[in-house]
Amino acid sequence: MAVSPGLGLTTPPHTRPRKARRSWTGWGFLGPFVVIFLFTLVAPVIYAIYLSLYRDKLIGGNSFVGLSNYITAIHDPVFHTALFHVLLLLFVQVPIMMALSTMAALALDSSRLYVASLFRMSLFVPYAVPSVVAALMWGFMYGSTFGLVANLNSAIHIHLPNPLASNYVLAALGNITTWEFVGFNMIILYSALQSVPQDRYEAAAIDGATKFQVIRAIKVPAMRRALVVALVFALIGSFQLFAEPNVLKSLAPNTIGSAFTPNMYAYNLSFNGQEFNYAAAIAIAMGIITMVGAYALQVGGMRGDN
Amino acid sequence: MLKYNTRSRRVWTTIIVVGLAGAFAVAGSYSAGASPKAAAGGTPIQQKIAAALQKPTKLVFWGWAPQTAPMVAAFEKQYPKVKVDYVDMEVDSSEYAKLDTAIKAGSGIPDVVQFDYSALPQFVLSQAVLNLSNYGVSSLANTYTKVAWSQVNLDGDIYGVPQDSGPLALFYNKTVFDKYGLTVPTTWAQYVADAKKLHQENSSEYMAADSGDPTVADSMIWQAGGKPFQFSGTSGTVNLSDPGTLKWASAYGQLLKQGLLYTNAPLYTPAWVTGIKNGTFASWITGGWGVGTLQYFAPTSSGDWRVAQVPQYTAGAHASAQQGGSSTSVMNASTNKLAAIGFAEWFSTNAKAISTWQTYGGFPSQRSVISSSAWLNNPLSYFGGEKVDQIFAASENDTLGGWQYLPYNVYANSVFSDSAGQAFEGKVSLAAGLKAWQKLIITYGNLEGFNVSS
Repeated sequence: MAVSPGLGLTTPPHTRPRKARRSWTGWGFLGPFVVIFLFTLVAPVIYAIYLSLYRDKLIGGNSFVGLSNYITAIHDPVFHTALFHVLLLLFVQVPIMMALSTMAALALDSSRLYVASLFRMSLFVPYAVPSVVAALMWGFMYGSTFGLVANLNSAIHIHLPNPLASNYVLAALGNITTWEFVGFNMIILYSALQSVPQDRYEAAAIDGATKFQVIRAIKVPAMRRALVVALVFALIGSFQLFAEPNVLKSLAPNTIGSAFTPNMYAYNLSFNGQEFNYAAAIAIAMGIITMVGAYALQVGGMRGDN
Repeated sequence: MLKYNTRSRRVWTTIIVVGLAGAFAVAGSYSAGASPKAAAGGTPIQQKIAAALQKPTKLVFWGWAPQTAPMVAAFEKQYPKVKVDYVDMEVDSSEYAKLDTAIKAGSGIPDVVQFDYSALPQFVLSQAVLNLSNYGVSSLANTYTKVAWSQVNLDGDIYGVPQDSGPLALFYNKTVFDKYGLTVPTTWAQYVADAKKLHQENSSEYMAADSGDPTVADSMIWQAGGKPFQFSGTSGTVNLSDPGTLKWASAYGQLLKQGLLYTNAPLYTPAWVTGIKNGTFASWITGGWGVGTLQYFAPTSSGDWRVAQVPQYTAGAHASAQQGGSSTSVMNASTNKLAAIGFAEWFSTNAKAISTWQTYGGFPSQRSVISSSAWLNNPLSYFGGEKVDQIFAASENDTLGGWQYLPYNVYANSVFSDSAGQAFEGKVSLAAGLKAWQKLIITYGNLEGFNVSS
């Protein structure tokens, strides 16, 4: 699909072009994108890579350290724990969320719902709530001396465990992210279902397929590509987790701590510890891990397609 | 005097040395620096500062206290040519993160910053804060309490004008104490015994709430006579198992181990406010500014609370410490240094500023206020008519000398929850948690080029 710019294509092949006049038209179209792309994506990444190769000490100044920051990260138990937390969320919370989204999308598509648009809206609305607000809201509900949990405890005389205690805090966070993103994923899956040609359902009906057979043989395969896309988003989202735990940290400082997720760790290192260089290394390492994960997911998910 | 020994001696010699050094440093232009209290018009540097305040100037001021805005307005009224752009940073650590970022970027640095005393050394070390010794500010030494002045005096130089002080005291809810027949504890042993009795009588009552706050830990260690952070320049020691620290770890550790403190309500969160309001937390050991904080968060509890001396480790002793307090400092990057210094001085020496600061519950740091009988004998109706300021004044004077904050306190505080905070989750003993904190502090220090050992 490469389009060679310039007039080369229209020049008769038997005469050597005297001097191919360069046309900038192509660049003119591409320009705005390239400028924004370079400034907002390429430049910050290159700067982060540059930072990650140095170590600027509070005492002793700046010096080039090569890959030493990355080697430190590989052996850093704090980073490992943070990574473990997001992996746990990825492997436990994401499948639950995807199952819920799939069910919601199938329900929407079944055209058996009464006020389908209301159902769709109300599931999608949490996605429109900023994650900081969502975390604050849930934080208040989780409160065991005030808020919903406290009210439940005193209203029906039970003793619910504190959702922000160390045993439950990951589940509490998973609950917030699930609440936020079920609707978003549902929309992705639902739009995939919308593109299934009607004649397949007719054929299935003629063959006497049951509703569940239709789901298994037509709808789920139709959603597969969309599911892979949604999973890639979820993977990135899990690895990038920051706002929700960072907000809840003010309510439960000891269970969440300063390095609960890799991003929180990088944030604390750079803004409280002034370790911009090591934080950059952590960020780049996380970027690479995310890319590898997303790529693997895509390759695995698309296998069998031609 | 004894309590003060090392620090006060350092302070006073410092002032003399600094005063002289300042005089010599600027001797080329004038020679009156050695007698800073010159009458009529003040010293040349004071005249320069006064002149700077009469020129059209714009100052950017980062602070957080609620009473700042009206004070800034009063300043602008007095010096109409100086426009102060006040940026409210609120009470959280993001002020320092933002400041770090601005310093790193080299732009957007404010002229004047309100610093917690605990955060000041870090910014002094990175040479972001202007050394005021050469600007005649040393002459203010006698204006402030020894403790307040010692907190802006770092290794002999003055890096700010003291704004407020945070003498530690025991705030207790008398209504709750009376209901459960608790005596006001004068020793930590009594405090622990009261806590036990209270929780036994009613399992939903706690002696206090503490969810693992590094500033609380610092002041409690200080009050127990601990001196865990000892730095001179870039080398120093961190010993969070010195005798003083261990005294606190033992008393406080008992409370934690027996579940007598409520550990799920960090300061100022809705859970904390609820507990303070409804009497779930029977006491609160904190700085003098707690007077304003309590009235702000729990106006309906008027009449319930009283103030007493902090519990002691030795019966009959009077050892105290500080929690919080702040200075007004000028940044090195300021292009209007003289006007900025003038503003910083005005902010805590002007009579109107001082009274506005107090009207809003702020605690003073000026000797003239703390020793005035009007202030000392002012009964506060919120505290049942108790003359609480007498207790704070005593605490200010009883504050133990020799305390130092880390030159990278902001980072140390940020990892408190990861280490010592685990003791508040019941996962480790407080002594072990503090030891883990020490390890993080030492590792970070050495990584950043300090020479730190235990």
